[in-house]
Amino acid sequence: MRSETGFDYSLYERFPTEKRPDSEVEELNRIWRAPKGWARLTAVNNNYVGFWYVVTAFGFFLAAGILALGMRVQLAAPMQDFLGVDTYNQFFTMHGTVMMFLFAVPMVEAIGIMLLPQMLAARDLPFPRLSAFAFWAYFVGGTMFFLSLFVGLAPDGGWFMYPPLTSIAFSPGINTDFWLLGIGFIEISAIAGAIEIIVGVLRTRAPGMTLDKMPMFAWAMLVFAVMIVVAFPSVILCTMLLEIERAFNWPFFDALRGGDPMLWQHLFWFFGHPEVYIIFIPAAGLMSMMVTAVAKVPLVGYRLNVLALVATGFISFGVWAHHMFTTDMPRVSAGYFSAASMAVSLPAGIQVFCWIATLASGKIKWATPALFVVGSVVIFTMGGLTGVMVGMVPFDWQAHDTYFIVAHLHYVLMGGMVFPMFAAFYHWHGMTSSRALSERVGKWVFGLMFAGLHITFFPMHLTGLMGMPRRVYTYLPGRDLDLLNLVSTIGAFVMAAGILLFLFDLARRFRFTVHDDAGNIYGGGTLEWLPTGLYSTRSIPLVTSREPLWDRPQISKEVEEGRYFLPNSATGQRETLITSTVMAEPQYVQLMPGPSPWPLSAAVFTALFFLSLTVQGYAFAVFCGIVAVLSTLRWLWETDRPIKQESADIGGGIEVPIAITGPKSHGWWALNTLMVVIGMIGFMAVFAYLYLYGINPEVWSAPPPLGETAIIVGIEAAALLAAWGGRRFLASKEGRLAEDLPWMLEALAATLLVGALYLDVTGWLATGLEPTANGMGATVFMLSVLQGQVVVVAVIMATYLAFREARGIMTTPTNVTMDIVARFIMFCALQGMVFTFLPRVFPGV
Amino acid sequence: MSEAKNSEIGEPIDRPSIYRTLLIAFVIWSAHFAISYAGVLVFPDAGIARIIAIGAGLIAIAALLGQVLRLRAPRSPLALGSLGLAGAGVIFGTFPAIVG
Repeated sequence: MRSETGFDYSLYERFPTEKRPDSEVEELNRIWRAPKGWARLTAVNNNYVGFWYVVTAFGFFLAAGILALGMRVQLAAPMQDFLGVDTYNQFFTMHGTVMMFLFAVPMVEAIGIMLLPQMLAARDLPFPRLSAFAFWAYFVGGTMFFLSLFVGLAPDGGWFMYPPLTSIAFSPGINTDFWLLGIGFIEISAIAGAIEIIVGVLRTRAPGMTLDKMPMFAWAMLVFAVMIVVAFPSVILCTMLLEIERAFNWPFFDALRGGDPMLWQHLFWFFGHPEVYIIFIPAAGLMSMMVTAVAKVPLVGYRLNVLALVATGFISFGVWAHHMFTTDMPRVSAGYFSAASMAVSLPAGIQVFCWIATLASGKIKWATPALFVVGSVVIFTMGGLTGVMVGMVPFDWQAHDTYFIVAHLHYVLMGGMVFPMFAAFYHWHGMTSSRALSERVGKWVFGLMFAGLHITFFPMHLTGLMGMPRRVYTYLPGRDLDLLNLVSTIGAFVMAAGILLFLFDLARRFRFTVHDDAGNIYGGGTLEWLPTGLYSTRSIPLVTSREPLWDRPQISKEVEEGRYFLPNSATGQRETLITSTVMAEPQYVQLMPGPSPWPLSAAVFTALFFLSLTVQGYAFAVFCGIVAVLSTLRWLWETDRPIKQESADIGGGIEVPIAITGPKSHGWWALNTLMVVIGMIGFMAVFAYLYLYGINPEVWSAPPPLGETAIIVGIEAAALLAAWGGRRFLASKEGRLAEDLPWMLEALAATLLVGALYLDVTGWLATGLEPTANGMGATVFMLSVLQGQVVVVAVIMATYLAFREARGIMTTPTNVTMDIVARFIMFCALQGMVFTFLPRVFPGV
Repeated sequence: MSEAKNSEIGEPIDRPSIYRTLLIAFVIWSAHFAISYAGVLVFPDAGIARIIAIGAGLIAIAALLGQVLRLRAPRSPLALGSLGLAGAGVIFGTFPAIVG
C-alpha cells in the first residue's frame, strides 16, 4: 500500500496485540477524571461540553418556537391584538435570528463536538479549551442577546437587518446594536468551533481511517466547517461596518454619501445563503449514517455522497444573490445566480437518491429514527421543489416576500435540519443516557410533528400565492386568508404538542451519564458505539472498513482490552494520537490540556465587552476587554508546556514523537485556518472598497503620493523579514538556550507594523480624506481598522513570547508558540502590504 | 456484514488523483462563475460581459476536458462524475450569457 508519510504498513499487522493490564484503565480514568461540583464548569472534555452545547441549542430552539407560537396566535384571525406591532416586529426578528444563529448552526456544531471524537476514536477534539471557549461564548452571548426581548430592546429589523431600515436614522434605539454586536460575537464562537472541527477531522482520525473510510458525518462536518470559515467572515465584516456606521457615522451604506445599501445585501447573503447549506450538510451527514443503520446495509453511493457534499459546498457560494432578484440587478447576472440555484439542486438530489436506494436495498426496522429519517426525506424534497420554483427569476418576482417563501424555507429547514436532528436525538441518545427513550412515545412525537408541520406550512404556499406578505402583524378580513391562517395556527400547536411530548419523555427517561449508557440501541456500525469513558475508547482501533463494528464484531472487546493504539497514557498526561490527513497514518502524540477556568473567564468577559459596547459603557468595555485578553493568555500559557520525554510507545512497539512543530503539526493547520478566516474578512473588505468605487466613482479622490506608499510597503516587508528571522535564529540554537534575539526580532516586527499603520493612516488624513466624508473614506479607513486589529494582536503575541522566554520555557530549536507568533506576524505584514497598496494605486486618480 | 459489501466501483477517494480532481473540478466551476459575474459587475449593460462569460465557459470546458484526459485508464467514475457535474454547472451557468 502507498504510504503518505513513509509509515511502514507492515506495522499494522502487530494489531490486535496482547491484552493489556487493567491498571492502565485506572490510570486513564484518573488522568481524564472530570472536576466535581461547581468546578465541573471548568471541564473541557467533549462529553460535557458537547452535551451542554446540545442542551443550550435545544433550549434556544424551544424559545424561538414559543415566539413562533405567539406570532401564530396573532395571525390566527384578522385584526387580532394579541401582539402589538412593535412586539410582533421583535418576535419575528428574534424568531429568525435565534433559529438561524443560536439554534441551527450551534446545534450541528454541538452534535459534532459530542460525536466526532468518539466517531473518529480520538481521545478528544484537538483543542478542548477552544471548544469550551466556543461553548461559553455562545451560551453567555446568546443568553444576553435573547434576554434583550424582555426589556423591550430586542432587534426589530428582520433577521437580515437591511439598511437603511437599520441605519441610525430609522432605528435610533440600541435594539439594532444588540443584533449587530451580539451576532458578530456569536459568529466568532462558531468560527472557533469550525477550526476545531477541521483540525479534528483531518488530524485525529483513528489509524487506517483513510478519507475513503471516514464516516459520512465526519465528511459532512469537514465540508460544513470549511464553509463556515469562508462564509462567516462576511457577516462579521458587515455587522462591523453597520455598527461603525451607526456609532461613528462612517457612510458605508448611505447612498447620499457614496455608500450603498446594496453592499449590505451582498455581504449578508454571501454568508446567508451558504448558511442554509451549512445547516443542511451536517444534517445530511447524520442522515447518511442513520439510513445505513436503519436499513442495516452500507450506504449506497458513499463516494457519490462525498462528491455531492463537496459540490454543494462549492456551488452554494454561487447562489447568494437569488435573494436579491427583486433589486435592480442586471438581467444577465440574475441569470447566473438562477442557474447556480438550479445547479445546486443536482448534488442535493444525488444525496436524496442515495438515501432512497439505501433504504430500498435493506430491510427497514420502523423505529422512531427511521420515521424521522423518512419523514425528513419527504419534507426536504417538497421544500427543494419549491426552491427550484423560487430559483426562477420570474416566479421569484411574484412570490418574493410573500408567505410562499415562508412555507418554502420552513419545509427546507425543517426537512433538512430539524427532522434529522430529532432522528439523531433518538439514534444517538443511547450514548449519553443510561435509559432509552420510549419507542411508543417517539412514534407519537413523530406523528404530531410531521402532521403539524404540513398543517402549518402547506397552507402558507396558498396564502403566499394569494398575496399575503411576510412580516405583517395582521391582515384585513374578507380576503380569503382567514381560514388558511387559522389552519396554520392549529398546525403550529399540533407540532408544539409533539415537541412537548418529546420533552415529557426526556424528563421521564433521559438520564445523563458518561459511564453506563444505554448503548447501541439501533445497531450502528461505526466507532462511536465502542465502549467509552471520558477518555473516549480505551485503545484507539485500527480501522479497516467504514462500518468496523459490523465487519469485525469482536473489535469492541479488543479495544476494551487495550489491544490497539495508545492503550495507556504514554506520557502520564492527557493525550491523543495525531494521524496524517489523507491516509490517517500515526504521526505523533499530542499532549492535551485539562480542565481550566480560563476559557470560561475569557468567554464571559468577551461577552461583557460586547454588551458594554452595545450599551455604550466604554470604560467598562475596556476593562472587560483587558480581562478577556489576560484570561486568554493565561489559558494558552499552559498549553505549550514541553516535557523531557521526546517520543512515546503507542502500542505494538511503535514509537512516535511527542508534540512537533511545522507543517506536520495540528497547530499549523489551526493557524492556517485562522489566517483564512482573517484573510476572508480582508478579502470581503476589499470587495466592499471596489464595489463602492464601482457604484459611486465620483466620490473617489486622489491617494497619497507613491513614494510614501513605497516606504510603508518597505517597512511592512522589513517586518516580514524580521518575523521570519526570529524563527530562523531560534532554529539555529539547537541544544542551547533561546536567549533574547528570537523574541526581540518578533517584537521588532510587531513594532514596524505599528509604525507602518501610523504612516498609512496619517498619509490618508494628509490628503484631506475623512472616514465620515464618503464611501471612499469609510472603506479606506476600514481597511486600516482591520489592519489595526491584527497589529494589536501581533503586539500582544510578541509581548507574550517575551514573557515565555523570560520564564525559560522557549524550547530550541523549534517552539510551538514561536512558530505561531512568527507566522501570524508574517501574515499581518502581508495583509498590511495589500491594504496599503491597493487603495493607493487603484483607481489612483 | 463483510468488507466486500463496502467495496465500490473505482478507486478510493484517498488516491491523490481522485481527491485532487474532485477539488479541481469545482474550483474550475467557481472560477467560471466568478469571472462571469465579475464581467457583469464591471460592464453591467455591455455585450462584452456576455463575451467574457462565453469565453470563460469555453475555457472552463476545455480545462475540464483536459482533466478528463489526464486521468489514467481505467478512469475513476468518481473523478469523471465530479468533472461531469462541474461541466454541467459551467454549461448551465453560461446559458444566461447566450439567451438571457
